[in-house]
Amino acid sequence: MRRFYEVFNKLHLLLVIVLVSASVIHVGLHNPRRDPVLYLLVAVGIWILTRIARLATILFHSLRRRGRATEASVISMPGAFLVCVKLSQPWDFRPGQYAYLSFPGLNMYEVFQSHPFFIAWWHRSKDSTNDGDELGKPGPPDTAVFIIQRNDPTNSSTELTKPGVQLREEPCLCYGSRSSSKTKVLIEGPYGTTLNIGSYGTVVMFATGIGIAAQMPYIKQLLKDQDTVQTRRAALYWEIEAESKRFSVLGGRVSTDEENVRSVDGAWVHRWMNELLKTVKRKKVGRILSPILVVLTWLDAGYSDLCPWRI
Amino acid sequence: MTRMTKYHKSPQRVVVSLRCFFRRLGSFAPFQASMHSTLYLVHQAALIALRSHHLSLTSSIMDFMNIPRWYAVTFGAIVVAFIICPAVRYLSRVSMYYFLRYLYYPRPKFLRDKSDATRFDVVLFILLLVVNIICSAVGVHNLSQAIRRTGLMTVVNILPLAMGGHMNLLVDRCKIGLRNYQQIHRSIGRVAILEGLAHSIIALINEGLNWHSTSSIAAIVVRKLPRPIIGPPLTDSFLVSIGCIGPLCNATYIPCVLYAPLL
Repeated sequence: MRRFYEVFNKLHLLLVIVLVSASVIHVGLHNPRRDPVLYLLVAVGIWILTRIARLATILFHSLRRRGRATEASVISMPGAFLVCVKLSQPWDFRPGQYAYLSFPGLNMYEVFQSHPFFIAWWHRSKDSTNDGDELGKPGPPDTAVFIIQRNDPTNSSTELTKPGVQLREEPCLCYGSRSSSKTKVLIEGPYGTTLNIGSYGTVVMFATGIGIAAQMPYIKQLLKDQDTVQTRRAALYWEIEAESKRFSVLGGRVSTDEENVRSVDGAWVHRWMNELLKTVKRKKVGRILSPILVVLTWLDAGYSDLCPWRI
Repeated sequence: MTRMTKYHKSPQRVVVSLRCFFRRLGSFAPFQASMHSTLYLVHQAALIALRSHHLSLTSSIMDFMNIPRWYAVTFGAIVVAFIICPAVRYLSRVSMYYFLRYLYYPRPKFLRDKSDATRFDVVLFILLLVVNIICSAVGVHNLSQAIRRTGLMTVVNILPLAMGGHMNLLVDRCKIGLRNYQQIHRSIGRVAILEGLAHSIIALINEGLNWHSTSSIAAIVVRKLPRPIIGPPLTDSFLVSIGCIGPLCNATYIPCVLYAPLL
């Protein structure tokens, strides 16, 4: 389906070029001040300008800075790839942001494909505690983490994780040292606007499967500012399409064992979840982990009496 | 962050800071839609400035006979109304709930398993269509005028289409989401197709099967294409139908079934 889309996308572009050039010939170029001609020329101008703007953002993020290039390490996980993009340029992370990714390292054709993905997690260089400058090394880069769905069977190697040229023990900041393959990446962004959910007293979030990628930043932001935001009650309902016996390892205390987690569907975010739950300062923290539904709630004690629903 | 929290810490504060207001407004869908249409206005202003080197700007705007231009200006006026008029601002805040519930989120039943279009998208499309029909009908007295008008309206609709279905900086600044933008892109595309088809059909009716038309695309394309395959009169509509295929090609999102009754 995806290839189908790509083919038609390119065909669409080609046909539009045919259409516009045919229309320009149709209306005649002899008098460029005539309305239709002018409109068409402006349309062509807009097209060129948007292309240039997109190219400029891609080039900006591809620039090397302090000897560091933008590159992605891809961690293969059940049901999804975790793509950690180490950015050479600083990035102003906010929830709700998404970026277009394309992987030119795979094959040449990939350069012309880019798809939008939500930034599921990030590591800010400012936030990290170990200041590398004392050691003379630059600190960790801004890292954006994307979750990309895979439709293939779990253990088959695909283009992204093909054991080949650049397989290396490259620690991704979020998952310690795990074997991951490194590829070049073109990143275009950030796009997207932030919803100011901190202004609501009660926040309920729903997600299914990979949709958690869009919710994680909001949870992160909400918990980071939990002393200042208006939000008193929050809950996340996350439905996972997973085999129950596999997921049961996550039941109760969320396992930190890498080996267990590796085989669990929906394990992409569990480490971040654990990290976040530790930071909750509210009196009540509820956590229900059932095979198919993960519910995380945090309630303020003062409000819980008024709470009409309890989990 | 402090900026955000400072505001939310004091709900009693009556005077909402302008920045927060714009942030709220930015996520309001009609505003998003109208922001997109300000692009029309921007182009129009640029065009007027380009064209009226001997006239003043205002006298160009007062050119009442130019219906397509009014089409553009109307769209921009919605935005101006939103920014200037406090009543609209108030209403938008009050009606947000009803808007989201009855227009923005529900998906029409007849489209439910065919596309992800919401009621709002359908309403927007119909609105766009109606406005376009009005613009290509008002002040038209004969067929040659109709041909010219529909052609011009097609080209005007191509302007916002030129930004493509890919997100870009300008659209993102207008706080239009990717899904909304793609829906708007498709809606305008469909309207442009319909107008292009109307243009060529009326031209065919008016001029008949003119085998010697030299001023049309037909002549140009036919010179390149082998004559037996496509006859000159057909090429015009042929090209337009090629243009139709393009938008139809976003097949992963919108099944062609959706367009079949439209075309």
